[in-house]
Amino acid sequence: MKKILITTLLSMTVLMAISNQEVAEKADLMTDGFGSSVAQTEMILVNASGQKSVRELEMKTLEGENGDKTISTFLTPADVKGTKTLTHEHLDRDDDQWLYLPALKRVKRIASSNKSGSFMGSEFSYEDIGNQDYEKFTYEGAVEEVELNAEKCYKGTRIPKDENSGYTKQVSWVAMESFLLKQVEYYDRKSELLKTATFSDYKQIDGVWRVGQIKMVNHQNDKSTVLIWKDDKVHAGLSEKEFNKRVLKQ
Amino acid sequence: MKNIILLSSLLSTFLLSEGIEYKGNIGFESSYADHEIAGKRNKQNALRAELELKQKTDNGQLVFNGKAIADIDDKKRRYFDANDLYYKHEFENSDLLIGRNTRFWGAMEFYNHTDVFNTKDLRDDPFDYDSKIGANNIAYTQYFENSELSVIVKVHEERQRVQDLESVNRFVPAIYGDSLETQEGRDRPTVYLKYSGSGDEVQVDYALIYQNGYDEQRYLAPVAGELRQHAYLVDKVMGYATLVSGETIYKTELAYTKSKEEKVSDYAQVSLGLEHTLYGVWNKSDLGLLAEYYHYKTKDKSKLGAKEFNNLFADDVTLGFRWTLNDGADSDVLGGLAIDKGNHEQILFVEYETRLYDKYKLGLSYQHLAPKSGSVFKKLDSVQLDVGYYF
Repeated sequence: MKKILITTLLSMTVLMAISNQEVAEKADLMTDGFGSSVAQTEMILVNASGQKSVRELEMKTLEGENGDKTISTFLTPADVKGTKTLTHEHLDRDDDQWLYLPALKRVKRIASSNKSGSFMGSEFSYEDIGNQDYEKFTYEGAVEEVELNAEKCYKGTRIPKDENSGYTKQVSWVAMESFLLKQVEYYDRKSELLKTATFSDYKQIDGVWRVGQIKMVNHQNDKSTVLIWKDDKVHAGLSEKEFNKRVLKQ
Repeated sequence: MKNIILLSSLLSTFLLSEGIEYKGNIGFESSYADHEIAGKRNKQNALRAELELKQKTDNGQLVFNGKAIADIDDKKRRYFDANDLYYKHEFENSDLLIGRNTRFWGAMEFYNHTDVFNTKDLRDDPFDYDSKIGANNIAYTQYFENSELSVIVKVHEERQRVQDLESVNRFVPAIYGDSLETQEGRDRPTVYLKYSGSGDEVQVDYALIYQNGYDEQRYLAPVAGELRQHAYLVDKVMGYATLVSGETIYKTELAYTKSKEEKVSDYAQVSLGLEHTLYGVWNKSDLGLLAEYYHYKTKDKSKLGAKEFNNLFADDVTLGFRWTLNDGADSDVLGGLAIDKGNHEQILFVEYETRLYDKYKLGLSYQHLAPKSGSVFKKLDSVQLDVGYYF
C-alpha cells in the first residue's frame, strides 16, 4: 500500500512538473522518425460562401537533422498539373525554395523569408506546412490541463523564434495520453486570433504516428482549408538525390 | 512525309503503352486591335489545342508535346508543331536527351536575352517570348551535388514563319520569304556548354554558357527577289544569376557575342532586375514589384547592330507588378510599362488569369503600344480574350 502511494505521488509529481517545452518535445517525437515519406494529399479550399475547390498534390519529404526537404507536385487542377515546389528547410537561416513551371520549363528561385504567405492559395501558410520542430519555438507560461472534445489535453503557449513568422504566438492542445497534437490557435502580428487548425484521423504507419487530416479555419475571412492524406507511405526509401533541383524538370 | 511517319509511329508507341501520363488543353482566343494601320484587320479569332504525353520507362522517359492552331482569319496561322518529341535516358548521376525540345535560360521576368536556345515562334503574339519552336538536339548532362554540366548540340536551324499580311502581329514586309539562309548550312551544329548551380550558404542560382554556332538573332537581306533571314555564326559567352535576400530577388543576365560574319558587329548585352514582394497586402494577396533594365551595346556601328536587328531591348526599362490573389482560382494580374529610353517607345500591358469551375481557364489582356515615328511599330491598342478547357 505504501509502495502504491509513493508511486502514485511520484507519478503525480512528474505529471505536475511537465513543462510546456517537454510536452512539445514529446509531441514532436511522436511524429518524428519517418525517414522519408510519399503522400497523396487532397486540399479542399472552402470560401466564405461555402464554395469548394479541390487540388491534389503528391508530397515527398526527407527528414533531416537541420530541417526537412520537401517536393510537392500538383496533380490537379489540370492547368497547373506538373507544377512543383522544392523546399530545403534550414533551422538556422531562410529556407531554399524553388518553383517549377512546366509550361515555361522554368525553375524559379522564390523568396522564402516571409513565412506568412499563402501556400497555394489555401488558408495554410508556408510556415504551417513546414516542419513544426519544437526547437523553432520558445515556450511561455505553464501547461494547463484541459479538455478538448472530451479528450484530456495539455494546453500551452509557444512563440515562434523566427522574426519573419506571421504569428506572435500559437496556443497548442496536445493529447495527454498519446502526446499527439490536436489543435493549434494562431495569433497574427496584431496578436488577434487568426486561424485554428484541428488535427485528426491519426494513424500509426510502420511505427510512426501520421496525421490524416488538418482543417484550418481562418476566423478573419471565414475561409477554410482541409488537407487530407489519402495515401501515406513512411520509410519510403527516398534519398538526397530525389530532392535535388534536377528532379523539378523530370 | 518522313516526319509524319516518325510522328505517327511515336504516337502509336505512346498510345499502345500503359501508364502513360497526359495533359493538355483546348481553347479559343479572340483579339481586337484598335489601330489606323492600312491593310491590317482589327479582329482575329483562333482555336488552339495542346497535348503533352509522357511515358516513363525504368531508366528514362519519352515525351511528346504538340500544339495546333487553327486561325479563323489568318490562313498562315493554321499549323501543327511538335515542340517536344524526345527520349531522355537517366543514368545514376547523368542523363542523355535525344530529340526535339524547348528550354528556358534566363533570370529576368519579362525578357531574357540569354534565352537563345530556341527560335521564337512568330506566328504567335510577338511579345509572348515564351512561344518557341522546338530545336533538334542531343544533350548530355552530368549532375553534381549542387550543380550540373551540360553539353548540348543543336543539329538543325529552324526557319521562322510569320502571320499573314493583314495581321497586326506581322512586322516584316510583304516580300518576306521564310526560307532561311545560313552561313554554313542549316545542319551545321551549334554547341552549347552550360554549367549551372546553386549556392550552399547563400541563396543564389547561377549559370554560365559558352556557345559556338548560329546566333539566335538573324539579319534580313534580299535573295531572289524576297527578303530572307540570314543565320550567321558566333562565339558567345553568357551568364545569368538570381540572388535572394529577404523578400527581394536580384537578377542579372550578361552576354558577349563575337560575330563570325563580316556584316554583323560584335555586341554585348546586360540586364539587371529586382523583384520585391509585399505579402498579405489586401486580404491574403501578394504584390510583387518588378523593375528590369536591358541594354544592347553594338561594338562596331558601321556594321549591323541592335537597330538593324530591330532589337526592342537595346536600352529599355520595364516597371511592372504581379498581383497574386491567392484565391481558390489562382487568380493573378501581371502588368507593366516597358519604356525604350532611346526611342521613347512605350508598351503598356496588363494580363489577368483565373480558373473557372476547376477545368476552365480565362485570360484577359490589354496592350497599348505607343511608338515613335519611323518605328516598325504603329500605335496600337489591343485586347485579347482566351478561354481554355484543361484536362
